[in-house]
Amino acid sequence: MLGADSTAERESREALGAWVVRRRRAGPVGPIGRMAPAFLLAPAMSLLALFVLVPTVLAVACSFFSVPLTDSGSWRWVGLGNYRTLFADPAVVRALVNTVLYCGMTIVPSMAIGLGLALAVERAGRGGALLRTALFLPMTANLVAMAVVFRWIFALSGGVANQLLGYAGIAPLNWLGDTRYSLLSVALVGVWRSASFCMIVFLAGLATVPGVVHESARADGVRGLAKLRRVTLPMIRPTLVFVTVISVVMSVQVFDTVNVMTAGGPQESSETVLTMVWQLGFVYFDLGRAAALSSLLLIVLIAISLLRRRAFAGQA
Amino acid sequence: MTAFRVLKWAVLTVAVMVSLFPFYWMLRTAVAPPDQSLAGGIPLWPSSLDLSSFARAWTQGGLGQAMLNGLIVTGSILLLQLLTCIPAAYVLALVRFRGRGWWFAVVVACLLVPSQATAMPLFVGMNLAGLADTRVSLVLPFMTSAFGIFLLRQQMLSIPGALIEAARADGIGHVRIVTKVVVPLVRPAIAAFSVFSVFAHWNDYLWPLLITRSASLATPPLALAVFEQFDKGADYAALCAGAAIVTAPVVVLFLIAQKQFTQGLSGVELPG
Amino acid sequence: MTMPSRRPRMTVLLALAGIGAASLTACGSSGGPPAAVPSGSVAAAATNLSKCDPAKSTLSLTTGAQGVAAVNVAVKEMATKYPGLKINVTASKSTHYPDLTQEVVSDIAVGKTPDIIMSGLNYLRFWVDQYHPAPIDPAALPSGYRKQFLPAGTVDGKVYLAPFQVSLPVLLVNTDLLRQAGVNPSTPITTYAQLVATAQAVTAKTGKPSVNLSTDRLGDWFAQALVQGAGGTFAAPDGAAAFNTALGQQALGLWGTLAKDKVLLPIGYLDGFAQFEAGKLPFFFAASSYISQALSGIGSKFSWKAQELPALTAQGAGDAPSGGNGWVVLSQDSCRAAYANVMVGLMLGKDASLAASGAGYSYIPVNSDAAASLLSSSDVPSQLRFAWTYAKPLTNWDAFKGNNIGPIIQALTDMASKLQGGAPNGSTVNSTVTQINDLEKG
Repeated sequence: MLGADSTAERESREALGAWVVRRRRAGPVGPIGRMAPAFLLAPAMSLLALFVLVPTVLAVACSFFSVPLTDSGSWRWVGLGNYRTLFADPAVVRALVNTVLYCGMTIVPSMAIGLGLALAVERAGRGGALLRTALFLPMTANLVAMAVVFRWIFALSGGVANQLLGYAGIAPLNWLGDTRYSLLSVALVGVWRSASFCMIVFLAGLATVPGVVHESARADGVRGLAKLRRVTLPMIRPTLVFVTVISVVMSVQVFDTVNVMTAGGPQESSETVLTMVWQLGFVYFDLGRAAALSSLLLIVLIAISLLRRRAFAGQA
Repeated sequence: MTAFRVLKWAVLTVAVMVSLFPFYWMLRTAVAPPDQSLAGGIPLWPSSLDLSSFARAWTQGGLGQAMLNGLIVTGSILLLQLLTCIPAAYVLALVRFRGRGWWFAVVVACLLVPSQATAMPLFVGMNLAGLADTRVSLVLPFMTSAFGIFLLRQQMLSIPGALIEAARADGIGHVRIVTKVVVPLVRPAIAAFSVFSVFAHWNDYLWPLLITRSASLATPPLALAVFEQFDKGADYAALCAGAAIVTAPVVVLFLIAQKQFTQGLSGVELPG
Repeated sequence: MTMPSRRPRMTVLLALAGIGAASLTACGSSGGPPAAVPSGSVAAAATNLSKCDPAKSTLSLTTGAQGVAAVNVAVKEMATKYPGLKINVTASKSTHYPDLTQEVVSDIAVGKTPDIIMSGLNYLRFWVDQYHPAPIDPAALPSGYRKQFLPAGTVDGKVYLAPFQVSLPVLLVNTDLLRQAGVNPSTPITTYAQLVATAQAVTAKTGKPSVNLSTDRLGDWFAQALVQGAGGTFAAPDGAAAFNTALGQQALGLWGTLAKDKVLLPIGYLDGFAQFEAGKLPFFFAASSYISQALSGIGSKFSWKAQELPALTAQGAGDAPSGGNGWVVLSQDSCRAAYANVMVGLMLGKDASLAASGAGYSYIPVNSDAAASLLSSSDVPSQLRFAWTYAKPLTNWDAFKGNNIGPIIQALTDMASKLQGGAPNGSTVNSTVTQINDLEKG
């Protein structure tokens, strides 16, 4: 910094050094300097408060009132009344059951398929990049657009799904219009999309397994399923937990495919929690009950995230 | 061993076919002449091409306007998010001050809240503020992103603190540190987050569905869904053409920026 | 971790509490005073108008997409009559009445009540019971307006809704397919038995189901048409569900009968329409407003006809329910209400009616001058002529009590869907009626 050594220069250098040390201990420079971090942080924080925290609190608060959209001048306290009517309403219970069923039908298959594909692609060598691209495409596609396409694929008249069934000698199914199959149709689209996502995450997780582990396993003669179970899976446990949590969070919030493909299906057979929230709020104009149902969803999601923290803590 | 390899390649082939089949069917239906598209039929490619479906989707379906809206809305959201998240992440990662941990806890708490939980109250709020059915209302709730702050902060933690302190000691202001020092160092994370943001907001369906009414404000997924419910009956060729138009930009983005895409969508650990 | 400083935490909490409290009170008072019964009946409007200054008023109107053409005509006419009067038109992107209702309800909830709204005819009692609009004076409607449509907009003897675009349930028949199946296309299909027999004959030849009686979009409307067509009552005058009679159950049994005989194609309305337009569906239950779209979609690909729905038996056929929409005046300001009534009158006049029931949607023209003009052109296709000249009386649509019309329509749709799936007639109808009556109490 400073030039040749002279007493004056040395003294000023020491003074500067002392000044720097003092400044460092004291923190940021000057009043403006002291405030700068606040200015940098403020926009994001106030936006988060305004558009995330406050609405969440309001939604939960609203669930304890009766708030008919048609008469919003009156917020009437009903305590747990909204929650009680929710569980007494067969359509809502159906929606809750359907959501659980949907999660069951999508999460496990897509994780299993995703893991299998990741294992296969990992060792594909040549063409691996091309395979990854092709297999990740379902996740990149717009879900509403693909739901429209799947609606056409599953159509009773002219849909190619029934044609393929016909080649296999099976009678055509009313995929979207039969109470038995509507949820399945939506779940198939969910698996198509989530398996792709799981595969990519598992690929990243598998890549973190150091080569020495594979070598020592080979040296010990451990291969195939045994290796998978005893070596690989434990090593990618954080990835497993991550994928599980994200899959659950994504599945529980399914809305786009149901709304576009079946609109809740014949007789609420494919109604899910979020489509029911929509129905309650905007077809039945009952904001209080809609808020109650979405608060339930929020509680479940927070519980899942907290469980995940515990799973992590357990591992560490 | 070879049996295993054959099995592996068989599985991969089936998987690729299943992954790509809906895209193929979408394009095939879009270019098939109208009577063929209702007939279905497995001829791999229709005998004649009819591209009028794209024109119908663009005009009747309002997709032209919707694509423009999508561009404006997604672009604005990304810009605003970067403007708010980068400084906030910097402060939370690299500037020591009292109570920093609490502010970060706020960010983490916001991560836990799914966007749908806030939809109803935001809807009421926007209506009260007179902003319903405006382009502003499509952008406003997303001006910042807790995920973005988290992701960027994560990256910034790996910047050596000494570098920042040296810069501060030189008297360089925070803003300049952010733009000149930090941003270049976390470019990959910024790219990954940008991809994620574009992906999430281009594809957002619930919020535009809730808050917009005019056809001229529809975003691409919403325009497509409305088109599907049109009184015209099911014009599947135009619907598939519309689906192709809506899907294309993000797919192209993926093909160009695969690494950032996968990183943005999946490669980062959430708080543990 | 360093000791958390108090200041940020307290500030955050206080800010949150403040915003929360402010929002709650804002929400609490946002509705404003409950919708006051506005003073503007049309009779009073004549005097009110002289006291009103058009430049100081702004009318707001919400319409579905199907009414835009007519609204534009009326806006131009209002501009010449009252220069300076501003009219804000909000056009929904949808033609679906539940969507339109939701949009208007949301607007009202935040204090922006439109002066004029388009309402589906099945939501009439909803508006009347919840928002107390001003009655419309029939005497003040234009002379060409066909008053036979007013019952669809009447509740308890007062007219609250001026029907604007009216349709009736129709059966579209692909006569070419009938001929190919060896069935004489001119055999009458006026009873269930005839429909079932003809459908069976066609299905026997083609091997595919031949009838679509969809339940998803218009399920409640078709149910009402079937019940009333048999001579039964759908909704009693007091608004209770009244179709739980032997007659009503038999009438609704058409779904089950068709499904049992495997002639029913269980797809949705829009898909069925596409199949009919493509010439693959012999029988399609539709709304007459779709006839013009069918004409442009089918062209000369095949010959087809439109007719009334078949009834349970040849005798005792009752009136069909009207479908479509009308205008309701919700204004709370006497001047705006007066202008609103004038505008409603204009929208029911000849030019607006022409725009409303022209080639885009084949609604029954509610203005006789418009009807004469439409029918005078040389080559009106027979199907369109049928849609435009229907003159029999049409009843209300879904005249149940209005507070829970959303769930009630859903219950009716579900009932139709269950019957289509083969559920037993008696118990399904029973449980639906019970459900509807419970909803009306609640």
